[in-house]
This record gives sequence, structure tokens and C-alpha cells, in this order.
Amino acid sequence: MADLLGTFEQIVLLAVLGLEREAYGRAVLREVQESSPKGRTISAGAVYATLDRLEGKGLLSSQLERGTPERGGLPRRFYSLTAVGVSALNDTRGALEKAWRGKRWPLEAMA
Amino acid sequence: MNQRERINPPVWMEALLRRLLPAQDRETIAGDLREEFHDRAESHGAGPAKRWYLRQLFSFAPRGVGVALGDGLILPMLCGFTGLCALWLGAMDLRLGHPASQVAIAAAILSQALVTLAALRLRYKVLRYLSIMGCATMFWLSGTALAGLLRGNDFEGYILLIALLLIVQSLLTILTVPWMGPRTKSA
Repeated sequence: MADLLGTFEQIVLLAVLGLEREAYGRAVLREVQESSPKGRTISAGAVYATLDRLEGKGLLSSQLERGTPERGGLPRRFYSLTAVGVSALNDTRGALEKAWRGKRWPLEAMA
Repeated sequence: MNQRERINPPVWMEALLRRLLPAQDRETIAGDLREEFHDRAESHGAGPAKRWYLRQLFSFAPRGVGVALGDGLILPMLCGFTGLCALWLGAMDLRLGHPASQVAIAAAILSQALVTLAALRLRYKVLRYLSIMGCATMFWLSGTALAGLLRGNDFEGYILLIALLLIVQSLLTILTVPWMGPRTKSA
């Protein structure tokens, strides 16, 4: 089993997965922002650094595509999950489910 | 709103953003943020959109430090200098018949310089890991040399210089190399 993913890494990977063929930087940033707790602002720097790190680890791959006029022709980088990325998400989910088994949720504060 | 009426982010902000990003991400991220800026300017007004853009700029600052150092010549020049020093030290050690351990130290310094130069140039993961791991050895060597100088009676200026340069080189390596992206991305 590979190293388990951090929470933010999982959120970013799931955003890419959910966006399917539309997973370019800005769309991922919006998706991550929407899936984050209300009121918490996600910075672009954090999202792009995570995308870069996940690509470096081989969990994501990317492809450049020509830009549209509304972005001044600047190219877009589209991301997609690799087989390693899918496996890492499955492993992390499996490990979390195993750890939570038998626990009542939401947890109650201990007296 | 058509293309001509769109408000773009201030030129200086976009220029600064590009300075903070590695070369392979400059166009794509600048384009993404410009798109988002257009939407925010349209829905909330130019002022809030500019403030949002400025906040994003700050979020790229930590990465920008690494990029600025990686793009610069400081680290390569340091590696080149310490590498040459190591060659000179090794040659002198061999010529003067010093213990093999001293030749090994010169070889370690030379190897670290070459590996870091290769990591900066080629960006292969294995080279980046080796370069980062080698920093621990360089810190240890420099610390030992400095401690020896403080204890000893003879003050050898060139040892002090090399030890200090190795510390700076290692710090810059740790600040730069982990932040570098892979060498190429599929286009």
C-alpha cells in the first residue's frame, strides 16, 4: 500500500475526478472551494502547489490545451487521475473506513 | 460583457505573478486567475476582484522564493565554487599524503556539488532526493569543521570559508530543490 493521502490531497484528487474532462486549474480551484467548510477561503497557491506535488508523485497527469479568447489565449492545463492516483484514493478511503468501523458518528465529546 | 469591455487584472499584478511561478506554469496559472478575475469583476466589481487577485499573489509567495532562487545563479555558482574547492582540497590531500578520510571528505563535497547542479538542470526526482539528503552530510561536515576551528589553535581561513559556503549552499538547496517541479510535463 502506498502512503495514505492527506485530507487536502484527497479533496483535490476528488475535485479532478468529479470534473472529468473539465479539470483545469481554475475549475479545480472552484470545486475545492465549494467542497471546503463554509467561510474558509482556499488560496490558489495551495491548490496549484498540491496539483504540482500530486503530479510529481505520479497521481495526476496533465495536458496543455490552447487557451480561449476570454483568457487572452493563455493555455489551460487539464488534469486527470492516473491509475496510481485512483489506487491511492481507494487505499486511503479503505484505511479510513477500517479505522472508523464500530465508531458512532458524529462523535460525542468525552465528559 | 464582450472581450473588449472586460477588465483585466492590473499589469503589475500579472507581471509579479509570473515572476513567482515556475516557467512551465506561468501561462496556464496566469490564464486561470485572469478568467476568475473577469468573473469576480463582473459579479462583485473591479475593487474586490483586485483585492482577491492580490491575496492569490501572496499565496504564491512561498513557492516564489524557491522559484526565484532556482531560476537564479546563486546556487549553481555556489555549487561550482565548492566543487572546485573540493577538487583542489582532494588534489592537495593526495599530494601531501593526507589520510584517506580527508580525500573522502573532498569527494563528498564534490559529489554534492555535482548532484545539486544535475538536479537543478535535469530535475529528475532521484537527483533531487540525493541532493536534499546530501545536505545533511554537508551540514555535519561544516559543523565539524567549524567546531574544529573553534577548538584548534591554527585558524585556517579557507576551511572557514568552505564550511560557511557549504552551509549557505545546503540552505539554498533545501529552499529550492523540493519546490522544483518535474523536468517536463506532458504537453
